[in-house]
Amino acid sequence: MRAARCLAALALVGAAACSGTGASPTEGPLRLQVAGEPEETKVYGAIVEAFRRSPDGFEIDLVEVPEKDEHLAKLTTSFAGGDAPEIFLINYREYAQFVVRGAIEPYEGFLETNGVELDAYFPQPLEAFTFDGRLQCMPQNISSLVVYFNEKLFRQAGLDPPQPGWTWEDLRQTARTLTKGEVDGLGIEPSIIRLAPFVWSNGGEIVDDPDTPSRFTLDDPAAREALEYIVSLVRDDKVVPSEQEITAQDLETRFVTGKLGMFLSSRRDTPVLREVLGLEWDVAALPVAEEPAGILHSDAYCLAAGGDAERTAQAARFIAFATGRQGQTIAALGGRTVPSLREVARSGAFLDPTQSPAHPEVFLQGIPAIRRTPVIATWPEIEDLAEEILTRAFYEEGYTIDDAIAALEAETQPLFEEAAER
Amino acid sequence: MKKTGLLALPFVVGLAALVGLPAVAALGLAFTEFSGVEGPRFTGSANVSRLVADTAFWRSLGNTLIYIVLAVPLRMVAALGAALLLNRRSRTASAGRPLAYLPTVVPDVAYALLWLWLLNPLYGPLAAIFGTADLLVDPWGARVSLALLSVFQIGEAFVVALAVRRSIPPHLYEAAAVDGAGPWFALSRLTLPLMTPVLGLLTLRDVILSLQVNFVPAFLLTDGGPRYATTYLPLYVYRTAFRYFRLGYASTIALTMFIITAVIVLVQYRLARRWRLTP
Amino acid sequence: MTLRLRDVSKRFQTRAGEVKVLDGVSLEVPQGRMTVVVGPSGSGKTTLLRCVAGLEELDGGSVEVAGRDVTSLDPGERDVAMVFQDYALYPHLSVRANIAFGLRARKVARDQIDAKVEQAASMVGLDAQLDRSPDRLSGGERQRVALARALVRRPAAFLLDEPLSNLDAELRTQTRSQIRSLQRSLDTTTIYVTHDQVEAMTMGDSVAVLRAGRVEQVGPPMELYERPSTAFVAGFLGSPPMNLFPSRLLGRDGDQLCGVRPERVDLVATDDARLHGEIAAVEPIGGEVIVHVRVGDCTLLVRRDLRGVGHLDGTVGLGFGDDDLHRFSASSGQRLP
Repeated sequence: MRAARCLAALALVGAAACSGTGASPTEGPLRLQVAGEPEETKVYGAIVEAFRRSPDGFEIDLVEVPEKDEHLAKLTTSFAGGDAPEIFLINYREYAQFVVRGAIEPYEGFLETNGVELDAYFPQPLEAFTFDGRLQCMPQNISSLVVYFNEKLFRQAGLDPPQPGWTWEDLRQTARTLTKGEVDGLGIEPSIIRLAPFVWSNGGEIVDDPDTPSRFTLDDPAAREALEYIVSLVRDDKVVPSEQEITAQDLETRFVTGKLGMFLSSRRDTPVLREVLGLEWDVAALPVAEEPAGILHSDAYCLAAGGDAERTAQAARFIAFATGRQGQTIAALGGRTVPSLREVARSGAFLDPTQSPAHPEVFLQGIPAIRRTPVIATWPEIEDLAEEILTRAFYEEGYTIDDAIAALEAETQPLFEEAAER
Repeated sequence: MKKTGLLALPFVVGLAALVGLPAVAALGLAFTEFSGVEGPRFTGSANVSRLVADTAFWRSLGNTLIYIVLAVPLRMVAALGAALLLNRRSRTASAGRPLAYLPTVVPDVAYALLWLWLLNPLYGPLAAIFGTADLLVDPWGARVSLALLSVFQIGEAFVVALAVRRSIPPHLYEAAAVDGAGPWFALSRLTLPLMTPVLGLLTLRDVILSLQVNFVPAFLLTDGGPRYATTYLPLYVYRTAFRYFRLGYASTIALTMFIITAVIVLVQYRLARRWRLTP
Repeated sequence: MTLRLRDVSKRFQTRAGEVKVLDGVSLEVPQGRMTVVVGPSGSGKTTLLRCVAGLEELDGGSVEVAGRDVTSLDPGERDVAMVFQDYALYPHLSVRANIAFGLRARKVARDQIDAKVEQAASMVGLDAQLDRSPDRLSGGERQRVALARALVRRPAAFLLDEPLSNLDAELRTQTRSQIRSLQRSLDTTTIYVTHDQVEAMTMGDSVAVLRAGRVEQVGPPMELYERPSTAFVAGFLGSPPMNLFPSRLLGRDGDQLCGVRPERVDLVATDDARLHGEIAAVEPIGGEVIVHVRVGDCTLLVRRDLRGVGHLDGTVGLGFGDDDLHRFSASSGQRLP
């Protein structure tokens, strides 16, 4: 078994060392692997530095990877090569595949020694990172989907900023008013995580069981209505950038260059938008159909399993620092995250009135209605399939909503089954 | 003889360690379930059954074959055409030769990014000049685009073709000229037949290369889209292995690619022998 | 179908500057005749041939084939055929296809091609080798393929560039007469380039001696032999070539070069001798000997039948008739009356 694994590692990374006892090396500084654009990742450098200067801190190497895909590929190969980073940051939609394969050392065992009080944190991310009844990783943030909007374009169109509790119809009218010439009213990606809060807000469900899902339920009338609504924004109202326009320039760039009145995203766009000179922008809550609904965006610090016990304990200490008050404050000041530590989320570090957005409380007000997608090992693959199908539903002539719903169910079926077998 | 064997030793050792061993390991992995994170688990022929039923695999195979059919003839004609045009001893030709090779020297990633800009549906120069806004949005547009952009990276084939063209004695062309052969007759009866064996080998090499080289542009330019139109086998293997952590299954696909390559090589070799094209 | 060159000149650019390879060459080969162009290497023979074939562009003068000015025509339009020194056979084609190449290029009907190819092949004795590949042929056979390729088109003129230089000595003699008889039977105007003066003397209806891009003398071989118009021609033709020595050896005044052919010199008693010298060396060549005699600071050669010569040693006398003595200007090299 061990020889086979070494051979496999060799196949993957050329000539990884087959020595050592676990997935991670036994000496050298601990490593933290994160993904994101430089604006996003620089805050982790600050946290690592603050930790080093803290009373019993030490050096940690920050490994930055520009893209999520690459981040995951690098993690896999380094696990296979016995060279995994001791700590890595990962989204709750992607960590399940690592958990079921035994790659994560549950953080639950380190709570007490590090004096972590879970009550001080928002419950939703903790719940999302709980698998098999145990807290696996320590969430650092709780973001939800919001509407970023361009204040200047709103003013030019004679529109008031969206008010809490605005309706789908309000969104449609606002987007139509904004759509003029090169400007599109609304940016929304054809993906499940954009669609889901609309389905939930309309009283529907995206899957039959959020904990042990076996199929998509977009054929359910409330869910279907939400999908129809979004597709009609694209196809009938034409307020969403065309496939051509998106291929030419992504939504974020279109927003930054004033070609997009509104777009849906999580907190992660904030640091980039803050860097853009002259861009006036703010955030608003998602429009509501039946009831308010949001979707959880959260990353957590995970410990690599199988490492040297003492080093793992050290890594856990860093995680406690990074998700503790000081780490969370640095993270909040960086703008990238909505802190998962409630105290910091409500502090001036996050609600800083001198920084955009002017209404950061929108992120906090959505928290009670926040929900998550299922945590299953095959979820990333299901999302990819769904994105391709929803792209067709958005843009391909003659491809109907029924086609999309049928394809979604048929193509993802084996993946739900595979997850259930585990 | 002994000495030449010794000289090859470092290469052979490197080849065995860096290519041979991983290949054997991958062969073994093809019959396992392996996530990279936990150890491989032997699953017999389960991966093979999965492969047969996997529409995404067949689609990727189809895309790859389409790529070969589109790109290889274009690349061969381009390499040959460039070699024949730039063979002359003129100032223009000597300036043209490095130019023909230049795109091949550009790192693949930089080259792909350059094309990402060139082919940008709205802000790219090609769209502005030719109105080809749909190239990367339309499945066939993307397929053709990726084939076309590969046409400029023909440096090696160009250099080989040029060398072969130069190895044809000038006397033969003088004899043909006195014999009354015009340029077209000389090209079709003299140049092409004399270059055919090497062109055959170049084509063979290019087909094998085309099973692999499309990874970077497909990864960076189109991300396999639109509608999976440019999801070629290498990209599919990559996604299967490193995005969905099915390394065992990815090895099965890779092994299949290897078998396909071997079959193509064998078929072409047979044909070449029948046509007496191999030197 | 006369072949006529008028004042042909050709220059090449080299690193060292401009080189005149042909400098006003005029030559006329009458219908059905063969003119052998001979000269040392670098004298411009091959360039001359390439100019006629159209492979080089002229810098001056004109070329006329069968009364037609072809100076500005492409090689294929000149109605000439050329045999290259290395034969330039198409390696990927069979003997048959090699011979047929020119007919194909000229779009001759297929059934005619077959007949003509077979006829040409049988003329050079290649009937049995038609379907072979050139690389399976011997040197002599390849040379014949090159000939067949030239004659199959029945061109107005043949241009042969040292066709025998790649053959061994025995084959060369044999092929020499073969080429000559083919040329006679086809009655085709021919220019034959060689550096070998034996070929020149034996093959040509006339011989043109080329020296540094100029025609030194043209005429029937025996005329050149008997009455060389310059000291260069005298010294180039013949084997061994004519003895050339300053006239003061004969006790004459004037700035002259005297010449006498080795075979016209007798070894005589010293009393009757016109020159006296010491024997320096004796070379037997089959039935004859070549005797090297030192006269003053010159060495003269004498070619004699072995039987007429007894023991050769010491001082000898050299005798020759006035008719056999040629005189040239020492400065211009021109023949003196």
